[in-house]
Amino acid sequence: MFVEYNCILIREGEIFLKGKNRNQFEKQLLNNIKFKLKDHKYSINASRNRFYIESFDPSYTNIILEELKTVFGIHSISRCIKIESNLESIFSLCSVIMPANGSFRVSVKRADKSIKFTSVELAKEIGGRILQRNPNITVDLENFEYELNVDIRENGYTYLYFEKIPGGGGLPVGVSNRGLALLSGGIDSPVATIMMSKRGMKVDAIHYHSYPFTGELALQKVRDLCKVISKYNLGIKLYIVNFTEIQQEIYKACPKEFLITIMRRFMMRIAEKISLLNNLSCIITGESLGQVASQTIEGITSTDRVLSSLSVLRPLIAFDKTDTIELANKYNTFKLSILPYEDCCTVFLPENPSIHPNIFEVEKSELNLNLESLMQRAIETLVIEKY
Amino acid sequence: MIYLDNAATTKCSEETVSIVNSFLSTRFFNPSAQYKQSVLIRSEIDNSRNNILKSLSGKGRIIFTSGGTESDSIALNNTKKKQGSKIIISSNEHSAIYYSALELRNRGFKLEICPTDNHGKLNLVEFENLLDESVSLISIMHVNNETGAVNDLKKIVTLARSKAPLALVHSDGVQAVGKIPVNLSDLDIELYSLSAHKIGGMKGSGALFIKEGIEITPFLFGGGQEYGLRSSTENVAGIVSFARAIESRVIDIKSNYKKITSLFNILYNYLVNNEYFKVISDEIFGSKYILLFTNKLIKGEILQNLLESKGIIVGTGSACSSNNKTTRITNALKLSKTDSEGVIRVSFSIDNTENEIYEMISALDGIIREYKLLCL
Repeated sequence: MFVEYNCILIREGEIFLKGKNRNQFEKQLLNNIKFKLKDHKYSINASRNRFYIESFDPSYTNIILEELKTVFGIHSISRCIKIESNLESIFSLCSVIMPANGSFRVSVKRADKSIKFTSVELAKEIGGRILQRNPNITVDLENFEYELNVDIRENGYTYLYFEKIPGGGGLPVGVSNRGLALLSGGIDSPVATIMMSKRGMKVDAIHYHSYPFTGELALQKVRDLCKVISKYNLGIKLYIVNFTEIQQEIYKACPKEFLITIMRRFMMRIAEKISLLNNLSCIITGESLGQVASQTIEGITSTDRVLSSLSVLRPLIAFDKTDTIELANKYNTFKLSILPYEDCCTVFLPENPSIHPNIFEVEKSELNLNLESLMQRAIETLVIEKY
Repeated sequence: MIYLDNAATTKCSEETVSIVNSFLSTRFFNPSAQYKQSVLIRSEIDNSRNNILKSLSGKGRIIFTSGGTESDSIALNNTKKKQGSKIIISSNEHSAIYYSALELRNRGFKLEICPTDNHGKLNLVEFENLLDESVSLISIMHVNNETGAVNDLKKIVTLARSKAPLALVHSDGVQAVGKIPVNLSDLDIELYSLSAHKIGGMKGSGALFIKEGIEITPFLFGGGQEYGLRSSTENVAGIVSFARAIESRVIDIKSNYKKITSLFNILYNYLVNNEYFKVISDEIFGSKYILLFTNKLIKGEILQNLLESKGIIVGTGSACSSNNKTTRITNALKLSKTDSEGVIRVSFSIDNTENEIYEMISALDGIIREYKLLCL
């Protein structure tokens, strides 16, 4: 007998830990699920830390599951068979859907207390029926190949499922305000961006390019990365700023060893200005302590000094590169990130950047520049794209 | 726009566009059908086959393919070879050959990669040393797509005949046909790959020459087209325009080469008289259609971007280390790290003019001047 999965069960992540804000969090998660599944026909119901998706076209089950895997705020997902809580039907269906060979266990949860047997009694009975029908399968409570979960709910329905697919975890995008990520196109910044999305922040991105020194390929790479990030962040707004004049002026007027530090100070200033204009409440970078010359504590301190009101979040600050790469692979950004195009940080790379820039010397050398007009002209080149 | 990346692809000639147009609109019939229109189209395909053989003095068969890569792949994969036998390629073959050869190695063949000189031309002494009776296939490109180096195919075939009598010899002629003289009978080569879009034809159209008596195993099964080797309804527009492109390029080969040589010389003379540039291509024995050079100031990719911003399109090619996931070509040409970073490939077509080259030179001058002011 062929039995079709007719329900997808979604378990909430840490939302259930929330107190008074819980409703708002659940509502956001529901909206995000609806946004993800906007191309599908289905119905969705919420009940006790869970959502149930039904009435979908079964041929799209795997596509829907793939979409749901990228929704933050979901702990896990299961494909279920939903039936009315009639014990005879449950027993016979359980013995039909169990594979004919291998080892199994049955786990019963009985929220519906009107059923007169205990969970253990039910599991025994179901196990017995399965063995009766499939003589080649064995019970193994420890090392089983299949775990049949039988979830008898209070709403009069029972849900049968085998697997629990991990969801995105974290919090639903949109519950933790908005931020602006500095997106270079390297390995770290896309991961940092998605990590903040995972904590519920809706992230916009800013990319600095050095046209005509950098080309269309480098920019296209950032656009392609935005398309991947967009899956997790539920859309993303990309601010593109031409940084060439600033770099050239720094190159001409400042000591070469401070080039990177001063560049990064400009990037922070512009990011803060754009954030404030767009109601974004923090800046996100993919920096990791000690990874490159500019990511020393002195480097980070001297870039943060230029900010007047926003904080900088650095989710990767204590990450090893290998850990970041693991996440980049998980989030599918790695293959794009390693495309070897020149970007604004590699075009004007000094041979000996200062590893421990002295803040006073950096500030002194910036006196040679007209900060305001350089920033203004850079911001005039701003182009906004949405993915 | 000044387009100087013609080794990557060329603009379709007006004649190609007009032929393609006619075969897509009014003469669209399936060549395998029975009505008169189809029969006429079938004979157009046969004529195309014969015209290509005639233009290249080949005795054998032409099978039409989707392009150079497919032709190379057939030559390596679908020829009869003794299991475990030796296969020889050169170190700077096109990826189509290189990766097919690696695949053959995975299947148990012994792969030998013969080095080249600094211009990208096969080292014949090393090549000769690799030859013996266990060699079943040799694939050496005719004109190198990075440097324009021209291999002495005749000598290669002669050496192969005397020392590796069981070997089939294949050459990727994608950058040669229609640009330098190719006489397949004189070369006495077994297999030769051709592509349309490097000489004003369409992308998606190519061919493989197979010498009389050489067997190829069929690889696309169906309606029996292309001698039953490659079934599939023919790309008629691509085939007919391709044959015509070869024919007309071969007729004008000398006058075209003269024109291209003058373009090459203008740029070459500028580069060799400028302290920041170094020419990698062989200015005497190489094909004048390709000029590979490097500079010590600006990375190739950045120089390419700066030229593009001035409306000049050039290539960095796979010899440019910053543009490539492997360093295969860089290593093959024995380029130093600095040299490999600054590589630019200029490749000419008969549509280019001397004025365009002078504009390119003045753009290079301007870029170098500005870069020096900024960085030195």
